[in-house]
Amino acid sequence: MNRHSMVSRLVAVPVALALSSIAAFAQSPVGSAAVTGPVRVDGQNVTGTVQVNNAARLSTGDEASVSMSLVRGGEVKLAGQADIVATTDAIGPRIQVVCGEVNLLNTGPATIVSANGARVFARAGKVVVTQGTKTTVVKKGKTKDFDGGLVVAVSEPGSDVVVKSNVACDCNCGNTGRP
Amino acid sequence: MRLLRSIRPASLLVVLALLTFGVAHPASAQAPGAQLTVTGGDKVKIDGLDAVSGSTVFTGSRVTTTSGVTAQIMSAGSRVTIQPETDATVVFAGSFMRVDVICGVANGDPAPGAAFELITHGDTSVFVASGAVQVEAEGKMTNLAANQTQTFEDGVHIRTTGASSFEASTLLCSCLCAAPVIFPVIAVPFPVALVALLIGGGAAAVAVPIIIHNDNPQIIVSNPFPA
Repeated sequence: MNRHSMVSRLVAVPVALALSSIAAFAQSPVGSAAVTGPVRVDGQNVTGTVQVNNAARLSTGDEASVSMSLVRGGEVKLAGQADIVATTDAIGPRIQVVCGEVNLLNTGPATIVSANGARVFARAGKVVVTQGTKTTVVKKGKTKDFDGGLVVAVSEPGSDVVVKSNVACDCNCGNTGRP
Repeated sequence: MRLLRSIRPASLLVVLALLTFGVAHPASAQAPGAQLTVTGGDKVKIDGLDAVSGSTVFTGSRVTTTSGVTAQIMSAGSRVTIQPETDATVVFAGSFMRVDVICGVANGDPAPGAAFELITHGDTSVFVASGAVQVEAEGKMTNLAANQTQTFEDGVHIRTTGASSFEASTLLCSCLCAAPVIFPVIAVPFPVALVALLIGGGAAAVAVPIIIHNDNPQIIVSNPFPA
């Protein structure tokens, strides 16, 4: 085996692994969600238990609920009138809150982003809120209100945080009984 | 030369793999960012914070533009253009790109062979400038070719593999969002609370709220001329 051939093979392996990891990222499931009531995933009405792929958007209507078990461990809970985009990357789950309230619990490192400010309740574990260069720690059992864009980060396995966006939702989400 | 010979192929493989995937540091573990270009103004909002041209946009970011301002995000040759007064979340990995238009207008220009998806959640008009796209909407799949346009009810899921160019425009800003939440004030001195209650009661007596519930943005209007 000449040197050129050997180098080509050595380079090909990690490149192939990287490409396969990108493809896996794009199509990988974030978790499995048990839904009740009017719920949409990527704009389509769903019932029962559904697989939620990376970057999926979940929207709930009146009196709906979603309990999503994350592939990497932990859970995301939504009540009625919530709207999120659920992604995952090398660090962990990243939840973009469009409107309404989301509860993230028992994950490893994870982030929740709210572009319009939010009320943050640290039910358990250490919760760190970042707004640009400013960092605020919300202690266990405490609630704090934030205006403007923010990133909520949890890192402890037993953490439990509730983030309520400063924007409420108004989705009938397929609830045909609603005017 | 002796040094080179001392580096075994297996060691080189490990080094290359580490360089490819990054090491365990959180900052380097995050997916590489995409490039932001702002036109028609100075800045846009990324996750609610101001961002200017040249900023790095990370996957999963929410991009919000104001009137007259356009944001372009490039990743691995694919491009999404967030038109003025638009709110969208952008996800990408390698050549894959996905845009969730919360409200407004976005253009997709995937690179040749690159997978690209765009989601909307309300009535949407889709125009294909070049190439072809597949639209999942109204419970069926529709293929659109170059220079075709079609309006779909209740949101679309557009899929394409570039090269193609298309535009998706939500007809009404179906962000599924209502008015900002007003969190209750927990501790208010009694006299202030009493005055506020009296004022609120008076206002309620002369204002008739009309609340329209549907997929469109909630509109709350107070009737200035109650019966």
